[in-house]
Amino acid sequence: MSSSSEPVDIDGLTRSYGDVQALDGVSFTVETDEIFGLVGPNGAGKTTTLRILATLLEHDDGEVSVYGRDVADAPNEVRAAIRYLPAEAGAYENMTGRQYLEFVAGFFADNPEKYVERGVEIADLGERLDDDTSEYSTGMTRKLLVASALMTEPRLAILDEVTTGLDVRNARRVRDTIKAYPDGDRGVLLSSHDMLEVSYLCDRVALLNAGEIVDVGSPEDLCDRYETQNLEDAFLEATR
Amino acid sequence: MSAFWRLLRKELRELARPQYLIPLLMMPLFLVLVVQGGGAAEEAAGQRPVVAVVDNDGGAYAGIANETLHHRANVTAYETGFSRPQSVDLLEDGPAKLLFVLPENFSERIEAGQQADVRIYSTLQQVSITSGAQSAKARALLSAVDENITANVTGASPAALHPTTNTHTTFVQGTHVEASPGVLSGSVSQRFFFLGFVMVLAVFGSGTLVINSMGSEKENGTLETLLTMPVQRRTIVGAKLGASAILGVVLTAFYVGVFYLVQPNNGGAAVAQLSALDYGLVGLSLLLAIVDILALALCLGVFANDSRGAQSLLMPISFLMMVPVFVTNFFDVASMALPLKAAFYAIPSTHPVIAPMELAFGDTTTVLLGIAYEAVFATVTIGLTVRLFGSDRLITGDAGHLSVIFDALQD
Repeated sequence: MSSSSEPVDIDGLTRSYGDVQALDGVSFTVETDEIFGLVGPNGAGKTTTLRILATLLEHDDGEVSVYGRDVADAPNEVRAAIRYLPAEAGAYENMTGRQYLEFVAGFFADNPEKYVERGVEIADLGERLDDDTSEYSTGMTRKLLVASALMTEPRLAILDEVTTGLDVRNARRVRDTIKAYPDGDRGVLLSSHDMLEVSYLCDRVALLNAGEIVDVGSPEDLCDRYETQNLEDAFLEATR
Repeated sequence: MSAFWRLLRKELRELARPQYLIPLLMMPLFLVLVVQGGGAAEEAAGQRPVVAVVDNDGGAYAGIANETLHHRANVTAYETGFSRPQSVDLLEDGPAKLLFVLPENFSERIEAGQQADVRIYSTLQQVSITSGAQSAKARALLSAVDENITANVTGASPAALHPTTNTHTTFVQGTHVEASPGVLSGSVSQRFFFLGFVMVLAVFGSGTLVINSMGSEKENGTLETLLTMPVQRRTIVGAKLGASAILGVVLTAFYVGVFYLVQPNNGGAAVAQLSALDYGLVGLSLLLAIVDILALALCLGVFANDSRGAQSLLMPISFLMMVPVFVTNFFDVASMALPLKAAFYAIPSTHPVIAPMELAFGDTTTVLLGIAYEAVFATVTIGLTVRLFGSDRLITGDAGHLSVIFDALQD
């Protein structure tokens, strides 16, 4: 496939941890200019899916590609196209927020000032950006990490529980940043427990339960399909 | 700046944190205390003893004894006709640490061909391992008294009293040294025990640094982000190894510097001094041992749950690293059973520890073989580390059949 392929193409993905089947034949695609959400309870396989896409975990079977590059065969090319923000990520405690942004941006450009500037804008930490990250609250760290993930303008942003630890105001700000992120050549894949967040952000959603995709569609279509008022009820209906 | 240099700088900044470095920099304090303690004991042993003498005899042979004691020691009090309580007061009032009491019948018994009893009293501020020096001083003084009295009684010349002298030559590892095994052992131990200890401390310190870094990455949630950067995993391994090796070398230089500062005249004259080339070989062996333990620590760090778990995993390796220092000083490696000997030489830190001694006795081949072994060990372990970093074990922490052991160590 060429580099103009879909941001994510997963077909028949399986992965087990010992006797536990974490993913069992998962298939979905993420298109350009789209925010795609993975929704499901704890242990459904959301983080495993994201980690496989981020080249952190190997998969047992199936095809997984990012912009046409197989994650197993061309992991470095995949890494160049993505930024992954884990749910429980942290920053280096002996760096200031600005130094952390500079450290990350340096991997993506020889002159990363433009990225750092954008990171400073997204992080919105004011003068605290020059404090050590060890002095940051959970919310401040999360804002910094979101900024570091999006500032380099990756073709695919993979975000796991992106607003965890943020207060309402900051969560809203981050959601708006993500909402505006996709363009003609970029996509976002995120996972969340927060159905309201998913409904607000995502163009399409995959309902994941016990390692299997139960259904895929836009939040509105899923609500219509299961004759529910919201995505949470749709999920419960779909997994009944 | 290339990805490697960026990562190397990041690792150096991470590893050089005060909470990691301060404990490692404090370690030589222990060494200073041991060496200074030993030095103080040696110095005290070499000093002229301070004694008091109570002569309750006043006879001719008591006179010889007094004369000998005055000649050999710093006699701060000389009394006659003192009772036991009065004599003991002499010690309590100081400054003498030893009191010799010559009894009333001292000369009479010697004239009659019988042994005369000299009462010796010692005073100690505290009982310690160095307290034995005081009794050695008392024995030496009494021996001199005996010799002078014997010469006087028999009219024997010094040569008649000591009719033989000796020159002891010891053959070791195909070379010969003009010293007795006791002198040689003392000399080797003095020169190489602490040096070996210092080198093993440096190896241990480097391992601690790198495994702390791994544990910290997992604990702080930075590892996953780092692994998804557009950079080869071997570059990440290289930067981690490079940064910790740099700090390991700095740490070694600091430890060795402290060692030479506290013990500048290390070693007796019985063993040949090392040449510049010899020191180069020891340095190379030490550097490879540091790389070996760093790679091993990085491998173990893959399976660490957090910083505490990382320390727990390193603990058995740390003990193993210490083994060569004690084995070389307290056991005869040549007479060990083959499996034990093989295990001894399989420990990477064995080679820098034994290298100075082997070179001092001219056995360069063993040192070169050791260096070759360390290089192979480093190559294999680094290869394994790169492979582990390329797999998803770094995320899952799955150690396969070894999981039971690793989990038990970290619980």
